[in-house]
Amino acid sequence: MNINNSIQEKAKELLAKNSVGVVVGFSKGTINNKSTPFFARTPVEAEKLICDSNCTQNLATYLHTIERKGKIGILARGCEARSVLTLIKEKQLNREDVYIIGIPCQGVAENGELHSSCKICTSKNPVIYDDLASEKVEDQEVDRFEEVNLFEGQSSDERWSFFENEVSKCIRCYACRNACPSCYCPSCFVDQSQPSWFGKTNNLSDTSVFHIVRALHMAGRCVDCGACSRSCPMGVNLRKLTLKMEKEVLERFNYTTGMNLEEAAPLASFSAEDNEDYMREE
Amino acid sequence: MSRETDFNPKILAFLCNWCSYAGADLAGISRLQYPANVRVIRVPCSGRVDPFYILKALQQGVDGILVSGCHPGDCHYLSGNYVARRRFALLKKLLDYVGIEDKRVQFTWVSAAEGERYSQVIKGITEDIKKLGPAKRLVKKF
Amino acid sequence: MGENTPIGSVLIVGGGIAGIQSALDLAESGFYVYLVEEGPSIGGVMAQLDKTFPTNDCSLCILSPKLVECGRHLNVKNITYSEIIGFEGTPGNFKVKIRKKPRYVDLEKCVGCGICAQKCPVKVDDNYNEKLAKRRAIYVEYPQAVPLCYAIDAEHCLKITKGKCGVCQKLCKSGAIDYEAKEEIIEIEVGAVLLTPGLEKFKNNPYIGFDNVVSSIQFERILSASGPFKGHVERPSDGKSPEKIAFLQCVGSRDVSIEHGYCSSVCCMYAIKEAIIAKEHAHHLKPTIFYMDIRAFGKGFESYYERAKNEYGINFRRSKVVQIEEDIETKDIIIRCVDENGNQVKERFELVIMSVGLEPTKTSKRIKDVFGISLEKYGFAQTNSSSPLTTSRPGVFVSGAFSQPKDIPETVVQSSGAVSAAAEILGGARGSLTKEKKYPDELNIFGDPPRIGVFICHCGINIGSVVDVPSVVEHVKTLPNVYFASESLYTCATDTQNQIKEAIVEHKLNRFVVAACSPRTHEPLFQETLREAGLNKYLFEMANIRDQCSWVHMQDPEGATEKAKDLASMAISKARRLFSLTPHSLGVTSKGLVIGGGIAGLNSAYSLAEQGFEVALVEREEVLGGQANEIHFTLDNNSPKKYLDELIKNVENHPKISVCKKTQIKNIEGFVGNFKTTLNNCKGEISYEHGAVIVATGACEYEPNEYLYGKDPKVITQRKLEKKLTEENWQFTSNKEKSSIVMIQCVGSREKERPNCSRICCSQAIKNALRVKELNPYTDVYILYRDIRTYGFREEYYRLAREKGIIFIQYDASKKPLVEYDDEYNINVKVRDPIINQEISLISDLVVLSVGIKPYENKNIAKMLKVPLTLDGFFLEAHVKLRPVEFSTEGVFVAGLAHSPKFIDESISQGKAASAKAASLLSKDHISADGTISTVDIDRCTSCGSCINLCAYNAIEIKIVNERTGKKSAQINEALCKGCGACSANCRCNAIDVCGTTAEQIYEAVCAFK
Ligand code: SF4
Ligand code: SF4
Ligand code: SF4
Ligand code: FES
Repeated sequence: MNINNSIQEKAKELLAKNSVGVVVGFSKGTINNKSTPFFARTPVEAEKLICDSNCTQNLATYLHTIERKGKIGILARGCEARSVLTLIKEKQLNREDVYIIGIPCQGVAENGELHSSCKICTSKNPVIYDDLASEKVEDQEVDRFEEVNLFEGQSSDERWSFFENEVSKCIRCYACRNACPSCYCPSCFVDQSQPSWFGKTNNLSDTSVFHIVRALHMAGRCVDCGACSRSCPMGVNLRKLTLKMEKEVLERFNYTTGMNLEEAAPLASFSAEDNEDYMREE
Repeated sequence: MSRETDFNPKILAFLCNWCSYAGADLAGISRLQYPANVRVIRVPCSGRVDPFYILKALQQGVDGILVSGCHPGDCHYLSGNYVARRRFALLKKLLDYVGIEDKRVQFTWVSAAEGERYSQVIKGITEDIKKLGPAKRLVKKF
Repeated sequence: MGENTPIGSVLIVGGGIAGIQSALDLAESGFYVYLVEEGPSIGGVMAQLDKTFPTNDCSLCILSPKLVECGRHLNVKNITYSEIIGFEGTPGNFKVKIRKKPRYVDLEKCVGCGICAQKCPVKVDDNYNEKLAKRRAIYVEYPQAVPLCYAIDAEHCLKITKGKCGVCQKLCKSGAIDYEAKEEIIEIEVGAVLLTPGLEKFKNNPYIGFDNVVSSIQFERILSASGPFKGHVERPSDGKSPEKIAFLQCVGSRDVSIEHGYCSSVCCMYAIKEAIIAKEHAHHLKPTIFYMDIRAFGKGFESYYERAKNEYGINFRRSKVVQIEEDIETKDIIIRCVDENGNQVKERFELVIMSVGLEPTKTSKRIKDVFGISLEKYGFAQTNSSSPLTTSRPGVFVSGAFSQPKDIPETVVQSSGAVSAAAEILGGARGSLTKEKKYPDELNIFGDPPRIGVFICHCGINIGSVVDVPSVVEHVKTLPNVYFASESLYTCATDTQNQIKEAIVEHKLNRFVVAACSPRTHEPLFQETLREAGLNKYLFEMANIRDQCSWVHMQDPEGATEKAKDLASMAISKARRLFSLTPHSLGVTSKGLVIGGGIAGLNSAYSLAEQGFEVALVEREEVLGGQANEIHFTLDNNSPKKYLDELIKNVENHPKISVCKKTQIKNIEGFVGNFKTTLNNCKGEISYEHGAVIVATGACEYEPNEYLYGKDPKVITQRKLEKKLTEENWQFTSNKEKSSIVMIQCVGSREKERPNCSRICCSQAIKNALRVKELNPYTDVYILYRDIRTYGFREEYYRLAREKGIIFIQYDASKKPLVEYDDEYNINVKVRDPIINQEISLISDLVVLSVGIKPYENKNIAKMLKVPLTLDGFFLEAHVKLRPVEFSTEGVFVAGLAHSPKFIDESISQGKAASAKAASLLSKDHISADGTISTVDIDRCTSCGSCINLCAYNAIEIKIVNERTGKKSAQINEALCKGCGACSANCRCNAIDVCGTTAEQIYEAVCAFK
């Protein structure tokens, strides 16, 4: 059975039985090949549900805004499932509130190519689900940090000019924030005043602070779905920083985001044993 | 600043009240001399120090930043410095990564009995920053 | 005051950690305290230590806040440089005569600036640094001393001895020095007395004449970063950094020839600590510790010892040192000792440390005479195992090393315990003599634009000689919102306080900034002044332009002045954002809950009840008494049964105690002052409200499965033997003439799974062995041991046992004894005898296992109370050194075996200590939290809960804050939060802020640094 058929079947059944009030997924869009997020609320609507390589958003993002009437059904690929798990861990959701139709995923496309985050994806299969829409796919062995390592190899001048160049593209539209399932604070630090730690305009220094703090906030919370970078109209390389955080969190705290519910998030816990290698040397 | 040698760096230090600030006081009581470049902000615990403080200072054009707390295990609030240590590890690594010079922002532990060490740390960081030269990166031009 | 009403004040003799702890506990629970100290400042030996075992905490760092608190407490009168010369009366009503020695420096006037000492020409051996450094004739013992007031050593002062010099008087800008000062006699009345004069370090060390032989306390100073060598490990003869160093244990301990037949209890551990710390300072060091037994018997000590061996590579050598000599040329020290094979060998060391023992305080004879108490034979205060805190004189209590050598946590436990003992007789007088200060109503400044006043201090010439004070004043005058700025000679002087108050009124100031010395010492004083002027104390801010400016930039007046300006600007900027804080106040249910009816729990409950509080004592079993029911006699021949029966009777008949036997704890809710517990027993569920909880759930015996236990009835435990020994005509063998008992130590202790020492088993074995010998002198008794850990006075019984012919054979963990049958089905114990270096085989009629103590399954209670457990499952207190009966969760305390293995007397002390802590809480009708705690902006909080586990005090909970919308948010429990800010700085939403250092305040301070 084609995966879309399987999704539709499952969604229809869930909606028909009233097991869920809605199924969050995608439908074919009207422009080009792009699919758009779609909320199916009736068995009939469920027939529109699809999930393919043109579905570029992270659906977990919608869990924050969707009206919570009854259980929510959601399609979740590997990264999305990790996002959902992260949200449960962060108490934004109870496990019982969602019915997860897991989707083993072969990646999403951008400009006819596999998206950069999918190229190094090591969790194609959902880690958490109630049902699977297809057989699991084979995961790949890749070095997720090749790019980070290469970048670290450059001189600090080179790194700074790269960073400045990326940041200078940013127009602070916050599309990246809005695309991110982990960005859900009722008042985002970029909007806060009293104090306003950094300026709100396109000043290079202020924008740099925005990107640094954004990356920090993603430490131990980013699943590298790539939704932010796909959503950025200016093509800012946002994953450069989030991947670095992923690497540090793994190496220092032995933590990978969204893999299980038991482990405490690295910044929501502490340990007497952490590495102090970055501290001032005597 | 005209010439590198004239460079008199501005350094900001966040010291926890119970150990490092006390250590700084002890350096004074023992009359241990060190360069007059550092301005101190007293915080209850190293765990109080938010990355924003450091970023703001960098934006302000502060040339060097130090955060110091009690040695691991000694925190007056039991685990505040452990919490801080995680947060600073990520901040420090990220700042390095984007190209802020390694020694610009530093973290250490100084106990209430380590007046000597405090003065050494301040001498050391002042030297480090002098070598680096004035801060340019992340400095906000008004 | 009527004849029968006790006096609500207490005299404490001795201002070391014991006296300080008692003073704070008493003052916090409603008694006025006179703390009398012989020396010029409080702090005692603990102030000399570098680090403390087994956590390697910095000693002064943890002591110093207590010193400051004690120095400032409204209800503690510190009487330093004084001694007691007269004492009379009855419990509840004593009269005391105190002689105050002349200090020659006026306590009220001296600001502790130290100009005098800098110019004093006389150099004297510095006792604080154990004579490794010099101090002046006018001095403070150490920089953090309390009171921070100089004193003149009359013996060496040129002015006083010869009428010359007088330079300090000329230099002292506050006119504090008076060479004519005379001694003073004062009289006070108190209801009870606590004796805490502490200890003396053993001095008659025969080798101290060698340059490179130092005492352990000297080495402690050497290791200290503030010590004579600034923490560098150097040897005194040539300042070289040594490589091979040796520690010699038991110097002045366990030695009857010098009338020190007891073990000093602390030397093994401090030697290990010093070796570890030395190694951390200088990695190349190779320390060797020469010892007889390593007595790592306390909580967490054994693991510390293991780490010293395995991680730090410290060499432990069980060997008798025969002699030590000095190589005249190199000044190295040559140690002659006996090696494992019994041969004498020589080894060369560059530095040797004598682990000197503890002696009774040199004032002990005088104390005995003045207070009329009895001393035991070595000169320590006489106590016994069922009343460890009472002296022979009613109303006079003792704690700390004055009654027996002991370490800091045990001293602290006893000090709190003694507070309970005193409060039991003074209960009715609680609060009768304590003072409370009245302040004018606070001005409401909310919404008013900041009007800031500033004082820039000269501190005599301390600041003014380096920093250009007038220019700093000019600078701050230009800053926005500053309506008053002035300089002053001594801002802390009384007349300046008046000027501050006047300025506040005259210029309608609503914030005040002082640029002077350190806020750590002086902020409370100025805050007090603000309160007297009707301003909230949090409207004050300080800039440190002395300790952290003029004193450290003496060569750079310009730089220092610039810095002072910046620091003042930053303080003023922060001050603009200050606001009034009202400490939250919460009611207290003045009842206690004690969980566990063993010795500790019984003592806690009884003491609380005697102090006037209602208590529920919950016991899961049918009988009270716990493990003590199994103890039939003690080493010092006390009858624990008698003691226990009496205690149980007293508890069961006490009108204020409800005893709930066969009862379980189902649930505990709430927090300090306001707990609600659901108890469950056959009668159903009961709900009980209380303000404090004492966890005294005990521990049990380890059930062995080694050494044929359970397989052969001739293999039993010590406890079983003890019981049998009390049965009449018990015979363990038919062969009366030639019988033998083999005891095996450390069964189930000091093992991989249970790494810690069970503390009591050595003494227990010796106790039983002695009884066996007493009953039948023909029985051969062998004790196979790893280290004999008869610490303190228990050492005497170890010696007695050897005298009585009990045979001790040492074995190593790697070569445990084997218990097997021989061909005739006799039990045969095989062990390697280290003296003859051969395996020997002991045919035994009875094998007695000294099994360890293991904790109960404590997880459930720990979870309900949100308190932690150690790796091996005992409860983990807030701080192993200074908070041994408290948890970091406030209002919850621990005592007895639940904390760690211990003897009856120790459980009694701890039970009472826990009740003192609980009483101090329950005696308040409300608790008010400090104003500097965190607050949550519920509109910002996403209720992600990331902050919850970061809070060491369990102060954060996620709660529904709006019933209608179901909105959840983190909420801070004001009674629990300490204001550390760990939660705040980690919150992505910036939803938490900390009062006193708010984001805005710090932001302004950072912005002011340009
Ligand atoms: S989406 Fe791109 S441009 Fe917009 S705020 Fe994010 S990084 Fe900047
Ligand atoms: S205060 Fe911050 S960290 Fe705590 S629950 Fe709220 S959003 Fe999360
Ligand atoms: S400030 Fe510290 S003590 Fe208070 S709630 Fe936050 S983490 Fe807990
Ligand atoms: S109090 Fe010093 S680091 Fe926490």
